[in-house]
Parts: sequence; C-alpha cells; structure tokens
Amino acid sequence: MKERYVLLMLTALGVVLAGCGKSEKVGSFPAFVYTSATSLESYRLAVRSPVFLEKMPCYCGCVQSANPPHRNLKECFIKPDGRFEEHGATCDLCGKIALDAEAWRKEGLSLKEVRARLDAKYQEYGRPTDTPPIE
Amino acid sequence: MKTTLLSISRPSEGGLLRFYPLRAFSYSRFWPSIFQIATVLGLVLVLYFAFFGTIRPARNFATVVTWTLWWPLLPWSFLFLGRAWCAICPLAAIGSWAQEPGARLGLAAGRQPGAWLKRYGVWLMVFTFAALAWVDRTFSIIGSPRATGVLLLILMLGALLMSLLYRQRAWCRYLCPLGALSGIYATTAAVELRADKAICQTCRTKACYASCPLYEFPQTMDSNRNCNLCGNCLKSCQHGAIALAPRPPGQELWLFRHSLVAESTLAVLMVALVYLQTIDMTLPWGDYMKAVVENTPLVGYNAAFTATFGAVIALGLGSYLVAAWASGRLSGVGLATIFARFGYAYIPLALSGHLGHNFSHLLLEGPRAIQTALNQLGIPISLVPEALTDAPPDFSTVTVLTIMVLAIGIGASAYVLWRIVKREGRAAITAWPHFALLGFFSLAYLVMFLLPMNPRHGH
Ligand code: SF4
Ligand code: SF4
Repeated sequence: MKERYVLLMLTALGVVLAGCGKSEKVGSFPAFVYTSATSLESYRLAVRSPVFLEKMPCYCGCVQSANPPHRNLKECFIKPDGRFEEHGATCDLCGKIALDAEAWRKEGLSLKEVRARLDAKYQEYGRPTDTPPIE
Repeated sequence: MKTTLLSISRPSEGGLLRFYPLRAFSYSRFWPSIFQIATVLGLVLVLYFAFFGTIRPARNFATVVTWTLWWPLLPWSFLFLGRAWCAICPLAAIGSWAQEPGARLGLAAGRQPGAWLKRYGVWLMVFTFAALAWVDRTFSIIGSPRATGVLLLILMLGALLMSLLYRQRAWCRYLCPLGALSGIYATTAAVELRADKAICQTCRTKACYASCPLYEFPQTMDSNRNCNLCGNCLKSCQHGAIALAPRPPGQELWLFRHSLVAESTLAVLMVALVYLQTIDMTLPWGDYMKAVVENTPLVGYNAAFTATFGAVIALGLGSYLVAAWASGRLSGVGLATIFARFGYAYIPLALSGHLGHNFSHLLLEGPRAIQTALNQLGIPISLVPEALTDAPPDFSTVTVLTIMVLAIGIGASAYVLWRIVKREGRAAITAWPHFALLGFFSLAYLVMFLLPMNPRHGH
C-alpha cells in the first residue's frame, strides 16, 4: 500500500519536472543569466529571435541609464558587438517585456500588434528606448 | 478584589497584566477586534491595488506593503509577541466573521475537526508551507502585484472555506502555511500565556476551552505553538487563572513535554527553506544553475530549481534523520523519540537566518517602500528624505547585522540542545550528533550570508 503511494508521488514529481523542463536548450550563457527563469528564458529568446526583439522597445529606463543607451529590447540581452549584456539579467523588467512580446507573437499577433500591445501595457514605466515604429 | 501593583492576588492580575492599561486592553472587547478591523481594511486596500494598481511591483502599494514591509517584519513579531499576528490576521478574521451569518444561512457546517485532521494537520502544514515557498520562487509572486493578489485571495478563500466547514479556526491550526511559520517561531517568544493548573483543577466549567479559536486547553498548554494571544480564555475564565508572563525567549523549547515528529520536521524544513531562499539571491547561484542546466536533462530553470529545492530539503531532513539515528544509538533511545524532540533545537537557527535574510529587504528597500505606500495612498507626506531612498545599498552594514543575529541564533540553538539533554536526563553524548549537525548548518548559513549578493534591481 505504502509503496503505491510512494510510486504515485514519484510519478507526480516526474510529471511536474517534465512539465517544467519543456524549455528547449539553446546554447550556453554566462553565469549571470542563470539567476531566474525569466532571465534564462529571455536570453534564450534573444539568441533565437534577435531581429524580433530589435523591433521592440524596452521601458526599464535603459535608454537613460545604460552606457551607451540601449536602442531596443535586444540590446538589454545582447550588445551591438554580439557579446552578452548583463543588464537583462539584473533588471526585473526587460525579461518580462521580452517574454510578454514572445507570448503575444505566439498567440498569432502581427509584429505591429505586438508592439502596440507592449506599448500600451508598459508605457506607465516612462520613456522607452528610441526604437523606430514598425511600418 | 482589590489589586495594587504590590498585592497581586490572582494569576491573571500578575505577570505582564499587572500593568493596568495592558490588563484593561486585554480584557476589553477592543482586543483583538480593533486590530482585526484595521488589518481587514489593509487587506482590502492591498487587494484593490494588487488588481487595479500599477503593474510596477516597486511602485505598487500591494507588493511593497506585503513583501517589503509586512513579510520582513513578521518574524520579529514572533520573537516579541509569539503568535499574536494570528489573532489580528485579516484572512482568519474574515473567516471568523463569516461563521455566524453562514450558520444562519445554513452555509456553515460548524463541525469539530475530525481525528484525521488532528492527526495529520501538522503534516498538512509542512506541505502547504513548502508548497508556498516553491510557488513563490517558481511563479515570482513577489515581483507581480497581480500574482500577489491571487495568492492572497487563494489564502483568504481557504480560510473562509475552512471556517464554514469547521467551528473556530481549523484553517489556522491545521492548514495555513503562515500558521506553520508562526506556530513554530512562536516557541521562541519572550512572552507566554499560561493557566495556573492548581486553580484549573478546581474548575468545573472549563469555559476557556470552549472559547479558544485554536482548540487549546490552557490547563494543559505548555507551548505557544497554538496560542495566538487572542485573550478569549482570559476573558472567559471566571477564576482569573490565566496570566500573560515574560520569560526567557524560547524557554519552552526545552521545557514542553509534547513533541511531535511533524513539528520537528517542520523546524528542520525551515532551516532548509531559509537557506534555499537566500542562496538563490547570491552571485554563485548563477554558476551553480549554469552547471545544472548545461550538464543535466533539466534544461528549464524551473525544472533545475525544483530539483534543487527537493534536494536541499532532502539533504536537510536526511542529515537530521542521520543525526537522530546516531543520537538514538549512542543513548539507547528510540529513533522516533529523538527525532521528535531534538528538531525544536534548530528553530532559533532558522529564525535567525530568517531575520538575517530579511535585513536586506527591510533596511535596503524599507525606506523607499514606506514612501511608495504613502504616495500610492495619496498622502502628501515626505517621511523618507530622497537622499535616503536613492542612497546606494550599504551591504556591509546589513552583513554585519545579519552575522550578529545569526551568531545569536546559533548560540541559542546550541543552548536549547544542551538544555533538552539536561532536562530529559539523557547522557551528554546524545547531543553530540546534533551539535555536529548544528555546526554544519551554521557553517552553511555563515558562508551563504558572506557571499556577494546578486545585484538585481526592481522597477
Ligand atoms: S476556565 Fe479558567 S480555571 Fe477553568 S480550566 Fe479554563 S483556565 Fe482553568
Ligand atoms: S489559549 Fe487563550 S489566548 Fe491562546 S488562542 Fe486559545 S483562547 Fe486565545
């Protein structure tokens, strides 16, 4: 009887772990990326879809605080010279914006619609990066 | 019966209640109701801002009040006031208030907790507490006002449902994850409410028992674990047998007679969870997670975290089991007895780690949080100078304070271990495996608190 319960619990744990582990493995990153689920997933997204994130703005204030100022969401994760940017891992907003944008894209929204929704949701944070509008 | 500060004739007029304002307040109907009304109003505000306020966690009343002010301050209250928070907790208050109208409408069953709940209640709390810690990290609850609101609503509904199903507060005693925390930490409090057993033996009404929301019987109560200092027993006892008294903090840890395997498990679980929730804020955590994600099939962060979560708990409880086994072998006492008794000795260590962990939130983010809460309520007061809210975090002060509190916790745990052995008349050798384990846990905590913190910043 007891063994059945233990088996049941192990199976349940296995299912949970399998569910959690559905993210695909994309490359290797510096250690600073592995500090939260949002951070890891957003860096993976940046490597997978740099052009998509290049079209999206960031609202975290990196347009003023970063040096040089970021021009789009991609630069929160990947520097213009191709190296990884630490900012996206230490800021709790960039990753959220990136994953929201990706989720909306997966819902089937066009780039323009994703951008519009992103602007509507995050505009209260203040000035975004100077990312050109999507034509 | 005339009472003066010098002539105390009933236990209930002695101890801390010899001070008239405190006594008058404890006996009045304003305690705890006036605080319950205040916290329920606070909860309404928190829920309003959680669902309708800004999505910015660092600027939202709900997240700053809940996670930056209330949550870090709560463990301090256990040290000075035991489980008193539970007496004024808005979640439980709403449940209690619903019981009478619920009964009139035929919605409240008003049952007495059954044997199953009594037997496994603490195990349920062990589970709900671990589950809450896991959910918090996996779903980043503290970083989201909406998720904070959902969590509070779930807890509120749990309390409400249990209040309608059972009489008194079955939720607080057997299920609430915060009840698990407050019950265990209340054992370290510097105050206790106890009855004079000699008077109780002559009592026929036992009115105190019927009035206790946590199903305690003051006559036999020798621990703060299930007493929230609501004062119901104090008010209902016609013999003045109950007193609130100061005591050396944590004294009951070596004095009480009823120890439970489930509570010892909960105590050691606390040690493991405080470790986990702090270590994942340090810089080397990234190196560790990188190694796991890149070298095991656990490719998702949450999968790697969940496995680590389970492993740390298993390591903590497993090493405690080994220490208990060794201690049992050395002293010839059964494993279950040793396991149930010595776990409580680790509570001061867990609490000191908890307080240390919260120093960073409270001291580094607290001033800004107070100002944000005022701003959100539209109160035009500038309590915190801008220079302070914008000052760079002073980690060294926080680290020094943390290590000081931790040192007190380690010393207190060692002292409790020694007193348990003395109290139970066991050979000193019984304690050695636990001293060794305490040394191991303490070292792990010390190293962890000295590690550089991850410079994460919120918005
Ligand atoms: S009502 Fe008073 S005297 Fe009677 S058992 Fe309870 S605490 Fe003791
Ligand atoms: S023992 Fe007394 S003070 Fe403690 S919870 Fe019960 S009624 Fe309230």
